[in-house]
Amino acid sequence: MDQPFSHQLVALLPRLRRFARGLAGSREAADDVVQAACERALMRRDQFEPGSRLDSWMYRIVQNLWIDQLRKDRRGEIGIDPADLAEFPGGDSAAEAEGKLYLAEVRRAIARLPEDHREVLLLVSVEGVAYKQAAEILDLPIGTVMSRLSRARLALGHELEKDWRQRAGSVGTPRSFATNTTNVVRIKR
Amino acid sequence: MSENRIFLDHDLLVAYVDQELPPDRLAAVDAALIHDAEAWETVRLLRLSAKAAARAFAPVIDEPIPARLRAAAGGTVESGNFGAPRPRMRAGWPMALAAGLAALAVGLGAGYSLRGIVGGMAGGAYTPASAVTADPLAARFESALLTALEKGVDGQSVSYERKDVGQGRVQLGRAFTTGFGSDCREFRREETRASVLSRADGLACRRADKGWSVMILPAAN
Repeated sequence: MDQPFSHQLVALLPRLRRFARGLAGSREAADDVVQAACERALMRRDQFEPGSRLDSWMYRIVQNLWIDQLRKDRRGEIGIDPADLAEFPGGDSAAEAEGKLYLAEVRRAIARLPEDHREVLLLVSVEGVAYKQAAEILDLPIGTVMSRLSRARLALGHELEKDWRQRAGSVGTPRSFATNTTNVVRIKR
Repeated sequence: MSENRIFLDHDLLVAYVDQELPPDRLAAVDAALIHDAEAWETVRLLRLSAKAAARAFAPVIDEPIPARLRAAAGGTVESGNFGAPRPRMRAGWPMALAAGLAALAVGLGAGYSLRGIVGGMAGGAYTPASAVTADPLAARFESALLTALEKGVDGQSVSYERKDVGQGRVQLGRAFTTGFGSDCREFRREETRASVLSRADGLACRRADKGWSVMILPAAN
């Protein structure tokens, strides 16, 4: 069934927003990137090869636009939404609050990864894209995808273990460190 | 089997965890892992980080899609904005949104672009929310769409007609989950007014209050 191009694009929006959120950090900045990506895709619709994957094409446009944006923005910072905690489902019991904080910590730890490691991690481990497809999206050899991915995942794993151990020492005040945590992460390039 | 020993580097292990290895290599890694506690620890961290990353961003999928993105993806920006320089990312969106909404309204004629349909099928008589609007064919369309959504299956179509105004047909497409909601259906509308045929595609998603949020896009042809 050949659906209208724009219709397919609309169906991809949730995934593109999720990918962009991981790249850009804040909701506002991420949606700016997705919007610009949609506009660019529609303008260059004739460059899309029919029969190839639209999701790959769109992920690539989102990633390119984000890198352009980073280059223009000399501060090289991505903002993590202070409101992010509210995004996670769950009530206010101590255990749920703890879980929310953990997930916010994960986002911050991902934001601290080097840009080229982070994009591979987001595509494969968050978007569920196969290695081969990720290699095509990022225009990289598959071996590079694997090495960046393994480094990103190990760095994140170590970081989370560290956070977890530190937290184990401060049981009883799970809320306190959310307010103290810095909301801007400097990107390593 | 000992001559089959392979070196368990991190790249191999991440592919193992992500199930990206062909079966023969998978078996070789399985066998080698038994003797390698350090590699097991690496596998544990690689698993933990994948799970944490996926969970941390999972809620984004269920967020409502901002209207400006729907407008931008709906193919409505190009009509008014082609030659103009692309607006800067931050400053540009209200303009693009306005252009998008204007184009949507033009594409629809009848004027239901993004709206909710609330209503029940009580006693088989459906009263559309827009019964008071001046466009009787639009009310018939909404009624037909609701009937299709509530009762329909893929590919089934429901016709509607209003004497002296026109007639149309609603056909349901796939059911799927999107950021708009978990219970969404595509549909296509073909409508003839004053002997002019128009086509539009739409998306309807079930709302928490059991009504439907409906978005209509001008068809690409």
